[in-house]
Amino acid sequence: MSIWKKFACAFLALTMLLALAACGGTDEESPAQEGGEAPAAEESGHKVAMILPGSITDMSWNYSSYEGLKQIEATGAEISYQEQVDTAQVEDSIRTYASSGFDLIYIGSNIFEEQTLAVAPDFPDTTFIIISGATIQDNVYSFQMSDAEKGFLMGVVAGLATESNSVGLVSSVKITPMLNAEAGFKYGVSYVNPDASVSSVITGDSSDIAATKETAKAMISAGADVIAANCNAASSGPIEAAEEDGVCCVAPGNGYESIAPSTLLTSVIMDNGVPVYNMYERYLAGELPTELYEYTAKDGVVYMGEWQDNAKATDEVKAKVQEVYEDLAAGNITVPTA
Amino acid sequence: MKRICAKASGFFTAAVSILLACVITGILMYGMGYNPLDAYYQLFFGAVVGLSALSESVVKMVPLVFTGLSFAIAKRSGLVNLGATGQLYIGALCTTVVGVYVTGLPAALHIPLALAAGCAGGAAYGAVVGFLKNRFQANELITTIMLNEIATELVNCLVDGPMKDLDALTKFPQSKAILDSAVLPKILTGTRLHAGFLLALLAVALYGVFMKRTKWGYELRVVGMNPSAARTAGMSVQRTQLLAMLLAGGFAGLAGSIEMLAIQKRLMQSFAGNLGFDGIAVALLGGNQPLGILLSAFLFGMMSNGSNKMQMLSNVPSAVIYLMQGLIILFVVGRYLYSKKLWEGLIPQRKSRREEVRP
Repeated sequence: MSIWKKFACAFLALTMLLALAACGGTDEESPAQEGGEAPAAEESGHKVAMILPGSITDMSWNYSSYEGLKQIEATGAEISYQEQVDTAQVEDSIRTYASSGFDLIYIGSNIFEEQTLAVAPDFPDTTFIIISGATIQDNVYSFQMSDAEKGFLMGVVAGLATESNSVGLVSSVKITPMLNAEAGFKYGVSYVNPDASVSSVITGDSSDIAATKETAKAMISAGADVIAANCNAASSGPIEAAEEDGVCCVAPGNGYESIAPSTLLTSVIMDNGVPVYNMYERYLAGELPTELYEYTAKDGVVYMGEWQDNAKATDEVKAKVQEVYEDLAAGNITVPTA
Repeated sequence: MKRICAKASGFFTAAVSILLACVITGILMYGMGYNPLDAYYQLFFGAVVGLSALSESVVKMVPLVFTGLSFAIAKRSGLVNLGATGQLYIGALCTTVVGVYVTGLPAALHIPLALAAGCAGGAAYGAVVGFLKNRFQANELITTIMLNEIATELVNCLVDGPMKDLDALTKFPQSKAILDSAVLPKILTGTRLHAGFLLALLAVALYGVFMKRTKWGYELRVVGMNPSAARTAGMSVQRTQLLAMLLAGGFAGLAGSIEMLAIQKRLMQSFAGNLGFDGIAVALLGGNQPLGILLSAFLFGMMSNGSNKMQMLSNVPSAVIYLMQGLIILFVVGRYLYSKKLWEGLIPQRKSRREEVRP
């Protein structure tokens, strides 16, 4: 019994010590934090929140949306975000933010559109902006981004780089943005290489890296020699598959060089941060759009990433891609949507 | 007296597990540059202070009560039901079919019918496991996991194909919305608290009465404790375990059913998150006892609600919250950590010395 008691004592002492350590830390930290933040928040007086369906580390959709929020923070607004929110949770999340004094709430995807419209009338003083949404009414605003153009540029790169005239696109979820990107991709490939065939698969899960990787492997063994990934947090799957099997790949955002140092061609970036920040400026000016606007390459929302060192990325390919991109940005190309 | 002691020690174990997990997570949060006290303040106040916070915790608790009961009743009969997820999906699917496509019924008829469909669907799916076990000695660990995959993929296909709502605002794969006549009524205006809470209380009471007061419940417990003895006493192990799986499936089916009729209102892919497997943690923490399940389901509901608030208002990343939930489960499952037997085993010399002294 005595041993048990000793252990109990030691255990309790340890617990207390740890608790003390946890408390001690905060005492030092909190005044500094308050001192730093409070005046900034007072300056602009705005509290901006963002509710995101995925993780902010996905290096594409959620990441770039969050980058826009950070830009807003830099102007002195107080920000907060919630990531990996599902449809059952989102209504409560919106209510929590709206009743905690946030006056502008970004809704991270149009999958939450219905829930947002259901809650918004209860908070008439709060402004809601749905990223890639389709509704503008009362205090709810939306803007669209051209996923189709993102897919189109990926398709152009893939169509120019392929030698076997077979390319693959892996997407993650059957939602409007992904379907538009898929349609754009197919158009992009046929735009530069009418002979090339496209195989496109939607796995159905934006965090299942194993599934996207297996899908890409199957495409490669069926003859595809360029793989494009557009699967949010699961985008590293196809890129890994391409690196392992030595075929080229196109990434949906920055940060994939380390996964495929020898096979990555380039990335196509759709920067949600640009319209997110732009909408904030318009919100401050009291000029939120009354008609649905689509941000495109013209607005600097869709653009090419850096080219990587790759034998397939010849000067000829780069020049052609640049030419198509400039055409697109000038508004000379209309990309079809799904 | 002994029973009270056992119960008290159970609560003690649970409390220590939670405390330990909070302390470790607190240190990690501090190390990552967040303020743990502020975070825990948001967690606690976001979960229980105020009517809307409390009701949201209860809303999150309701499905966990059912999946917890699902695991518990199978466990008491000696089976490990890892299939609550699948049974929940099938329950939700059956409920959605009734809730969307059966029209023209008054609410008083439509709601019970939709609930019954979900319960029956889940029960049938659970019974498949019992059948495979009885007929082919198929291990239920494997069959339940595989049936989970089948159920979730079935729902995935259906909401993207035949059941897809083509008139919806988005092209998101989802079914049509449940008709108003099948929606479970709210019992507190201004919150999301719904009648499913009363059903959860009823289910817990029924579970308690069934286990303690009925012949079937008695047989179920005997089979779970010692199948050979049960067989010798003339009880049918196979029939009892089939009944247990039937009930387990029914409970899980109701979880999906209520979630669909009260909260989600549309069937969509992977809508249930981790409800099925969280039920296992609920049952484990609650010691498979009715009151224990109710309390631990509330704790998990509270944590899930509070952790949302914590993430939203103190900006702690969601990964930290998953970490804390994981730690709590780890410490509860590993609760023998606090029993003296384990520690005695680790230090054999002292143990032998003590044995010398005793006689």
